Amino acid sequence: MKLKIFLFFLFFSHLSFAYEFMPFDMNTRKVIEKRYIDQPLIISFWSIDCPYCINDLKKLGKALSKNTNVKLITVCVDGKESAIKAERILNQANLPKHEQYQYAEVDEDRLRYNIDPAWYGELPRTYFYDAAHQVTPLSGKISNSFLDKWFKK
Amino acid sequence: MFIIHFLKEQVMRKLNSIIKFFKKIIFLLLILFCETSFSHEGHTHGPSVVASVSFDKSGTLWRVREQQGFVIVDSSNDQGLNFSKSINVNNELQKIGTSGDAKPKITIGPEGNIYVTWTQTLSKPYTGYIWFARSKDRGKTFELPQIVHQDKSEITHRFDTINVNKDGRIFVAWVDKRDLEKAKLQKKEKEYKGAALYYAVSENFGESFKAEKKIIDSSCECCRIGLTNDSKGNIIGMWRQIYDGGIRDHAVAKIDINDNIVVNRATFGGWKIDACPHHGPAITRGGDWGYHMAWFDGGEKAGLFYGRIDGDAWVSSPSKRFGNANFQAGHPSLLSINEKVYLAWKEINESDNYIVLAISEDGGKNWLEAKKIKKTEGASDYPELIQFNNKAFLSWNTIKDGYQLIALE
Repeated sequence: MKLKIFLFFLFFSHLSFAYEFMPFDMNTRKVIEKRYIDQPLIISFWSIDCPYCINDLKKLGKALSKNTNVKLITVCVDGKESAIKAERILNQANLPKHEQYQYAEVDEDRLRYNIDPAWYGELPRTYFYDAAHQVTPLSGKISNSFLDKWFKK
Repeated sequence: MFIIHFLKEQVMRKLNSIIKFFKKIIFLLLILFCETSFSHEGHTHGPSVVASVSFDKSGTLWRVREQQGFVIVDSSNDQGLNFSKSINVNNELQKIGTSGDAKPKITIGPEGNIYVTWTQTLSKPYTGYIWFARSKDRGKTFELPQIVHQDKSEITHRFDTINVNKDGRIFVAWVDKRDLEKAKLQKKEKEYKGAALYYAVSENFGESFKAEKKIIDSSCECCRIGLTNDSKGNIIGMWRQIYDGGIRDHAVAKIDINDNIVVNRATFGGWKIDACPHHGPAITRGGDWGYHMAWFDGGEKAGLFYGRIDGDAWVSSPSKRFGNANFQAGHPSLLSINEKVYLAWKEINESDNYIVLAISEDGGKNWLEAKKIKKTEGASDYPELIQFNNKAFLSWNTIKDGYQLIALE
């Protein structure tokens, strides 16, 4: 009996592990912006296929451990079939507990256009929102000098 | 006697509990195994949105796509309206690269062999193998696929590209990180930037490949490679290269049939970025003078560009901007038939994905006004321009409106 209960839990815990990401669709960016209005916020778009992304996430994790007032959101741009691999990579980044999303639109190109028409798909892509939600978009590796300056703001 | 009996019972109990324990373990493993396959394949879907096509000599259109871990090939005798039943190229389920600039490719040799390449995505991040398969019986069957590279370590071998020249010589190139891995182990003072490009050649119509060779170090990690031939059948390649200061401009190279490699810088956009652009170039041969090139540049002057490069002196013409950068103009395809040049690319607006086409009638010197030629509401592949008997076609796969093959004027 105990074994059955154990298996029951194992089955569901494993499933929830695989699908811990929340769906990111056409409206999600606006919803997030509204939810965290008046709060500094970093939204980081990353992919399991992008070697620069994991290093950036690690860097963000380190910086955020000293700046706990800044909210972090990560968005994996790979579909849910990559959830297990994405979870595995994200776990290596030592990020604080945060909202994790994953693309949930078939038309990923249009989703990207919807998020930001001036973003052409290069990764990592990070949006830094200050408390007044002035947004600084950044493509590629985040430099230490940029991070220091932004966090001091 | 009693003691022996007691001991026997103890041993039996122990044995029983061991057997029970193992039964539990096996049961658990079975459950885990079922779950894993469940979570990998629990979603049912049709082919992914990417498709690559090629005409054979008789005008049959051959198409390759990916469907649930299989590379599938079918053909059409009525210019893409109806397709035959598809056949699987790989027999064993694989994760196949179809995102960003990755997709399976199909091409046909002058002798009629059909060749397919694809990237198998491996378990470790960014890793893969480049696979090749051949059909010698006009697509009825494909032979057992082979990995084209001899290095089988679980590292990056991705973004396959295939070219078959007029003599049937097969050239497969890809992005490869063996040199980066080596540099990491050696802990050199100077950091190894980017990846490398490697290629393997088959001179027996796909029977086997010679050991792979390196084209260059420090290529971009995640952009497709453009390939074409010069009039003698040598390879002309174009790719995004990392130049000093982390600038990602494009290089062209001539790789002749004796493996002599001459590399030149082809574009000067100065996009400085440590990122994966997921945005590779297109190149095709023009007249005797050289080659047409199309590429995307990011940064402040982001957009799609076209230029010509001399085939002897390797001098680029000033680049010309195409498309609307506000609508994501990018992912170009080029086709040149005599003096006529076709340049197609993809754009996106609030409601649609659409393809824009620009035509030059004088070898790329002057261009007619670009026109939107097809749109779709859902997801779509990047465009491919192909030709049959000197007639140009646009090939474009869409989810909502299906596969489109459009004859161009």
